[in-house]
Amino acid sequence: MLEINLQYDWENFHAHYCVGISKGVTTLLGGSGEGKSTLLHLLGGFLDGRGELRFHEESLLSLPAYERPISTLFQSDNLFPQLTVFDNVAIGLSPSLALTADQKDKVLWALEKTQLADKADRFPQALSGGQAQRVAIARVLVRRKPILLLDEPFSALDPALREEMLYLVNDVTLELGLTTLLVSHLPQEASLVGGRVLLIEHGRVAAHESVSVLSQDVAHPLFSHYLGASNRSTNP
Amino acid sequence: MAIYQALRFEFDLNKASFLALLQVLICTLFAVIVYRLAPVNRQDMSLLSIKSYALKDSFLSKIGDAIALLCAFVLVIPPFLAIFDPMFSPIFLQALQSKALWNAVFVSLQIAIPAAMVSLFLGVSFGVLARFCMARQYLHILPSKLEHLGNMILMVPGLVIATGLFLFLRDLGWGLGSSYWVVVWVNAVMALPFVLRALMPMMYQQERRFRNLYLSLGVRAGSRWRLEWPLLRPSIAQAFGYALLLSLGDMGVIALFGSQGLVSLPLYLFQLIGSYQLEEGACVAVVLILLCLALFFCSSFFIGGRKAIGALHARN
Repeated sequence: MLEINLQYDWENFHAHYCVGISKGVTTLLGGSGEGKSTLLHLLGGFLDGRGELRFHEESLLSLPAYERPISTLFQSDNLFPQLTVFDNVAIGLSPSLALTADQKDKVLWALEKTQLADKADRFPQALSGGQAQRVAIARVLVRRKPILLLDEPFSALDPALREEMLYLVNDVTLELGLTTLLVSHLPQEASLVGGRVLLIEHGRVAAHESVSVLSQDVAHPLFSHYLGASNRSTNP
Repeated sequence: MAIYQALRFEFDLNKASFLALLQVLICTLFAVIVYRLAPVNRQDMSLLSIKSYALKDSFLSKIGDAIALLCAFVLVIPPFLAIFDPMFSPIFLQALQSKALWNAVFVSLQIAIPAAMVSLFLGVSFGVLARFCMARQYLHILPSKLEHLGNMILMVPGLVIATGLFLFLRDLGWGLGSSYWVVVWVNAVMALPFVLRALMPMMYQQERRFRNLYLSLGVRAGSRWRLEWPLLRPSIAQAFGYALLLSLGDMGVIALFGSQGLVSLPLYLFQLIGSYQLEEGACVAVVLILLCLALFFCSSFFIGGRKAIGALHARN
């Protein structure tokens, strides 16, 4: 259980998130500028918030980002262009890139798992967008952190590829028993991965429901504003 | 010039420090006005390489361009070639054998290399501090202030800084023995704006793109330097090269603080011309230019690692 009670202020934006998140995938929905990414950045330790953040009774707030039990996939720039695919995964285990034989096997296993074994010596420049994000997922696999944060990492991919990546995220979440938070601006993505949805509005958690609310005939009152009239007709 | 006279010929320290202050005041006033009026410069760097599109132009305009280029070529190139002309005169070999010349080369290197190192160290320190402060609560106003601080030397001539530093060290009881260090330090500070110009864009870009990734993976200090080195080294080489050349060519500070044992190449050149040994002076100029070219090449070859970068691209 990830318990969040966090406050954050930046100029005119005052956020206060208060929610408990259980194992499995939770999708963060909400309009642009409502504070979805802010929540993720607070959890990841990239912004300093006030309040409480606990995971299995352990307080995370005072920990720097790299000591939190968290892996993050960013929207872009997840890979270092000067490192090979292998090294980009390996850096998740050791910042100095000095690996034991055991760790090397682990990296190879993760590359196998993400179907990148033949790309190990390539540089990120030579990869497609989908492959690049798969390398980042391979890094998540080797890091084995119990919480996974995804900040719209697939928004630049075409629909079929995006779907494939979401399934991969879902598999990884189930297999490793992760608590996964996925920021998305597409309600369809939430329906695809299942689990629960969080609706973020004005820096507050407006709703925390099972994903089935998105496919109801009559939209949930809290979601109706976000989904809008046009969206409902495509989701009968 | 008045400061120079006050210090060099009259040794009137009060007058020198007063004049230095006056100059600082004038320059600061001017700089403040410029900064008030100048719009904020917004930069955005993209990693995407620039695509070139075919230009549509007529045959006539192409000819026009060619003529313009040719004119520029004819006007710009000959003076450069003329500088090397003394190489072919018999005096050149004689000049090369003079001990004073090689002493001056040695003194120049003795000043330029430490100055460039100090300048680079200052520049990198400024850069690391500035990029740490970037986009952070309360601290985000600092980066531009730090850059202004680094550029301060452009407002105040090196001679003025040198005078101040000299007077300060004299008060501490260091006297004339400190003049070598004054020259090194002031040359380093004078090169700082150029060093910053060369370093900052790449350092900022790295921070902007990868700050969160570095943070989440715990890549810090040495590990981070090792990762960034291949990307930063061309900028570092360029910065080092600029600092070297500026210190090699500087005539302001050394003119004031140079003494019997501290004659750099430009000062030697100045002395030769001052005593109407124009031919020898021309030879010294050639040596100075060759030295500049050689050092800049070394800097970009060894620090910049042209080969290493070429290899990186070839592997892709």
